[in-house]
Amino acid sequence: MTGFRHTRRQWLASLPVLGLSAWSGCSRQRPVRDSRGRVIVEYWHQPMVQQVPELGDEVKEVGDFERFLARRFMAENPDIVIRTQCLNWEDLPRKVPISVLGGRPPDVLMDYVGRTSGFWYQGVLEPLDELVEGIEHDFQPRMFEASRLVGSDGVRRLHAVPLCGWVQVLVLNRAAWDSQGLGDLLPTDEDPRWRWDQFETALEAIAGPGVTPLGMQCASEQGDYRVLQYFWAFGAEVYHDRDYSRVALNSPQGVAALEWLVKAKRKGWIQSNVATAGYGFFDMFWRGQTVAIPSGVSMRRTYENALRDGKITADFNGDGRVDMEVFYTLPPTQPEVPTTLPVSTNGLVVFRQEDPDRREAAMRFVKFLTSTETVGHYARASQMLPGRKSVGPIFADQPDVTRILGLAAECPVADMGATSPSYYDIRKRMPPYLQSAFLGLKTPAEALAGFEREAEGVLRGQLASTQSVDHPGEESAQ
Amino acid sequence: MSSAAIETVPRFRRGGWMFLLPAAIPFVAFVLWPLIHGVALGFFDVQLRETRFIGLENYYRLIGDETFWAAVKNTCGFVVLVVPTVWVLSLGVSAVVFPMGRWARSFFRFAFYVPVVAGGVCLAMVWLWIFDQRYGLLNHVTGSLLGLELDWLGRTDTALPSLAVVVISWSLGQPIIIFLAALGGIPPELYEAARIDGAGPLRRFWHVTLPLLRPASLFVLVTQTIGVFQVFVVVLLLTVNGGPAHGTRTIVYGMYETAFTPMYDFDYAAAQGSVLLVALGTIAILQFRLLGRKTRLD
Repeated sequence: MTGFRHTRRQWLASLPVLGLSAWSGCSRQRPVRDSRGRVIVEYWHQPMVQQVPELGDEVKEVGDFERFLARRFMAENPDIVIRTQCLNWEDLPRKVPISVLGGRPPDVLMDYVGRTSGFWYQGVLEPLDELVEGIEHDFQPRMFEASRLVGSDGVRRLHAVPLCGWVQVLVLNRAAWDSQGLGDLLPTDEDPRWRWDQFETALEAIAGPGVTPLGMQCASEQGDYRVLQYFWAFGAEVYHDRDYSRVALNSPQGVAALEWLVKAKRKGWIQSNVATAGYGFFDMFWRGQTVAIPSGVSMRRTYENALRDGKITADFNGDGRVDMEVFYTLPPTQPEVPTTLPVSTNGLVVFRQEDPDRREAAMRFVKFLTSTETVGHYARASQMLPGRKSVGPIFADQPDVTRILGLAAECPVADMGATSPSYYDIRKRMPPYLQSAFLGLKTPAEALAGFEREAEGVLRGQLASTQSVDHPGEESAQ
Repeated sequence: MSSAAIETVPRFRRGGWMFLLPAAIPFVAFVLWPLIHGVALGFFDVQLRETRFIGLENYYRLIGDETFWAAVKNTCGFVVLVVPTVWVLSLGVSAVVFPMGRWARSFFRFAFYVPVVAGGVCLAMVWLWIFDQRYGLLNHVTGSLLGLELDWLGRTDTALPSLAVVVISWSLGQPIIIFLAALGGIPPELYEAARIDGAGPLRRFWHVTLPLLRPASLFVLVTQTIGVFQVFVVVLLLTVNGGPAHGTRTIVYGMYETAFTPMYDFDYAAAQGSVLLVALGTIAILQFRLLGRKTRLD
């Protein structure tokens, strides 16, 4: 009898704990309002802005700027409370999808359109055309078009409001050549364009013990546009004519490009551990072990930070002084091949909202974040191109940047398929094949054929999945 | 008195279940339910907004997936390199350490068990430095002695064996403890009888020690095989995406990458997990069948 009573008491005692666990586990929706009745909007963002000089000590760390913006917005909108969260680069591709699967995504997200487009194709984002009505013309056309995607109904809509973006150029450490009296081999400040033979001569001249001029990595898909820049230089394309149903890299031009890269590695123009190196090539650049990296014009800001942190130790003539001068050039191409450059866009998206109040609050916040003033802050702080024309020139004090961006604006955009439905699935599969080629396990032709075969499998699966989701009747009819 | 006692027993037993709950609830919530859910997930197409039943589609996809088979090949390579080596080394170390004095035995037990408690991440960082092409200890040694400096983790012929060495280094501790305990359980009279029969040290080891260590060996082999089939941390920390050229990608690493690095193919990763579950179950049963016979001393 005693045993029975003891058991029941324990059961009763454990009920609140079990109930609490069940409640916390099953409660999927976040509260719409806080205790003061204000609508809660969660804003997750990239760690893009570290310092905004004009805001002084108020913005010293990543996340400070967004908190500053949130405070300003809340002062003007006392019925809304903004909760910001800065995600690091590793968390961005993991935490957001997991939060969507868990039914608790952020309300507003600022990220690269290559990632946000995936959410659009999954149907979990709000279309944002209403936010740009009447001001469409003020957005940079390349960024604006990259943000307009076809939805499940076949209509192109704005899935992200462009905030800022970058265009890839070739960054050199000019001092490497100058310090050895080889500066004449480089393009001039006034005309930073190359001929291909001039480019090869400059690499040949500077390569030597301790210096592998070209910085690149293919250990992972991160930064794949740096390797792809050399494919584009040969006229190869990842996708042809925006046809995302097949990859087009396995072409005579693609094979020629990979053959050139493999030869470049053999000649010592590319670091020997290119197949497994991560982002170490930036440190190699600061140490003078590499002297040319495809990158955005924010490189000068990165250089200033590296200088401040004491990372710059490049010394080519052994005089004990640092030899480093960031020099932007247009990536060279083979004769008759036009220069194409990748353009990337960061934008703001709103996840699907069931509550109309929260939807309205999230939209109001995005409108605030994409105002000319805020876009200008973001662009200046990150040294990226502003998404809105009305921000005006932000690189006026850097004539070389203005010049290179002017040249870049005339170049066609290289299509990486960043906003295609299988972007991540496809790009993830390329590095192992490039590694095989660099390590001599496969010929360049075999490597690209292998990549094409695997990519086709992915695209077939994607197509089948899309068809069965969009047309379930057809699947059952078959 | 006796009838009251008989009446109380079932009630008391009912209450006894309560004592299991603290262990049973986490087990069901964090092991059993995720396991069942994971197996079920393999039969669905999981999108962010909807989930639909697709039957065996994920399993058909596995058959034609070259990357998955590369991972299977590498995982088997790990098992072949690591499990027998760990068994032989741990048994050898135990046989050498066991006859030593109490303090020496404790010291070696502690020394070999340190890597187990040190944690994979710390050890991986140390090994990363050892294997570093430019500043690593290994190249310093091989360079000085043989004039050989390699990118150990950057070549397909050396990357997998290098990782196997790392796994072996932190897998020895537990088997050594188990074998030392098992050696202590062998009756000394058996050795005495064997000695009287004229058996030398090797024959005593072969005919007495080894057969009587069969249960311990079985445990070591089964747990090691399961553990090595689940190799993950070493691949994540010492390589970039299981490279070069998929040369170190394992099944569990592939599952992680499929599910969490922006492919979000949770259902496909779950199908891979289910295959691993079946494979491990089959191997464990085979090991029990082959090695689990009762020991008989001739």
